Amino acid sequence: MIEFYNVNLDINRVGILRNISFRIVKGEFTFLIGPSGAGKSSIIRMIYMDVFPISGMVVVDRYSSAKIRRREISMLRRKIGVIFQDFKLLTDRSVFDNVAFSLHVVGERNKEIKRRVLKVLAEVNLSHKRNQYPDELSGGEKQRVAIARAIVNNPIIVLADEPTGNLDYASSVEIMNILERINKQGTAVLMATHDAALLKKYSHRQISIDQGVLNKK
Amino acid sequence: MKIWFSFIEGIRNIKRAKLASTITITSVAFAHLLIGVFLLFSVNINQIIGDVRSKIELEVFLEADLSVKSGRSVEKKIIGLEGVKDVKYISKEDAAKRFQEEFGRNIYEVLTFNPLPSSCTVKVKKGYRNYSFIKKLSTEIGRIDGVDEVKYQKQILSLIDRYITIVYAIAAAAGIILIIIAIVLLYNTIRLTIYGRKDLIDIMKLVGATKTMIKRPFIVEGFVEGLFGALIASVILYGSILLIKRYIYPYVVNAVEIYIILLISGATIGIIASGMSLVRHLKEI
Ligand SMILES: Nc1ncnc2c1ncn2[C@@H]1O[C@H](COP(=O)(O)OP(=O)(O)O)[C@@H](O)[C@H]1O
Ligand SMILES: [Mg+2]
Repeated sequence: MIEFYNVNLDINRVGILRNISFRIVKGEFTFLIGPSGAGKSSIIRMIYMDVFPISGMVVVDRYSSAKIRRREISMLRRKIGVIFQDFKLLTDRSVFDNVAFSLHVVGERNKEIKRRVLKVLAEVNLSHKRNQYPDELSGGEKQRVAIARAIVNNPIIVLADEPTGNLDYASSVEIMNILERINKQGTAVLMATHDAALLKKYSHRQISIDQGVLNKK
Repeated sequence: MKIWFSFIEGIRNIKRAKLASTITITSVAFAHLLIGVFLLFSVNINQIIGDVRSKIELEVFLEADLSVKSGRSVEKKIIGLEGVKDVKYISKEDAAKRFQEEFGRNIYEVLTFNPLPSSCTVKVKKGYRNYSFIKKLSTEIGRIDGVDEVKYQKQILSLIDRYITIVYAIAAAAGIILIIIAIVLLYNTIRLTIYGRKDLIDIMKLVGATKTMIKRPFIVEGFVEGLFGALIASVILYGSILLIKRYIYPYVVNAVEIYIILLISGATIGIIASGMSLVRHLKEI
């Protein structure tokens, strides 16, 4: 489902990733681990085709970085949910509207939007906070809103870039539980992290990267 | 549904950047107010000038002892000329009658003979009532056999024609400058909201919005600000005209077309300005 073939990435002519090859299959839960600056975020950005390799190829679903068109990038992203360390919520609207936003943007019908948003908010245990604003939520709750937004479009994979980086241990575990539950329902999860304590608790496959190069195990 | 969503987001943008939006709407309103004043001024001036022009006629004096028969044939020749609406032949006797009507005395009693020449009064068709045509027409008539002299209100006509062009040119130049100012202001407001809404644009991109979908709220924003500014200007103008009509000059002309032009102009300017701003700034963020 996701395949990297000898990928090299430069940003501003500086080498960021060197000769990266791996694959992630449908429904898999994978950790992407490595120290800060190793290139984890860059790999995630390449998957949602925000940056492109200078050589090699990234294949996601049926799209290839070599020949994807702009319009197809939009279509691809509708099948991918992304969450970040800093949540990236819109502070000028309620929890409900933050989640609904990603459905409005793709032109979904109001009735359907309402149904699906309420459903995912229940899945992340935030139904009772649907009318509150992001600034009124704890970090863990904000990340759960971000997860709800990421999964409301029924993606084939959730990309999580250090989703617990700003959270205390208890909240981190809560987020992990939700991600695992989503994964059990068939959605693949790729989670970048360097949180050793958390990693010890989970036995999922790990892809390890350091200074732009994969560590062979 | 999609449009409704874009509309709501556009309004959100306007509300978020309250100061910039207010300044822009005010400027658009101001520009359209002045444009509206120019347009209404032109319409009214046109009306007045039209009245003046419609009264303009040529007086063709015929040679002193021209017979009525020859006079009538001059009349026929004039009627055949381009731009002539109608011609009225006035014989020596008619002229004497008119003298009597106007001055209350019989010309034969005053002078014992009738010095008044026979003449033709020539009216010109609408669209031909300008200085250069009438000048040409008068020379043409002057060349007809039996015609002594052609007179018309040369000064008024040439004055109108000389200054009307200048007035229109100034109004048009001012209008264009004002529109450009309005576009620049709108362009910059949209630029500010584009930068100010990087969070929104990033998330839109992330969840798979197409480029059109990303642009739409900003287009709506420009459209609404442009239209709203023009609407404010229209309301002020309309009110002022009603007041002028009631208290100052009851014959003032109030043309609905002008308000339609203003609204269309505001909306169009808004869309153009935000479109330009998007082309320029969307890829920068
Ligand atoms: N926009 C950028 N411009 C220049 N260098 C960048 C940019 N983004 C990332 N980098 C560099 O790329 C390397 C990998 O970054 P990143 O993928 O963010 O690592 P990680 O997520 O593992 O911390 C780092 O050395 C970082 O400085
Ligand atoms: Mg990172």
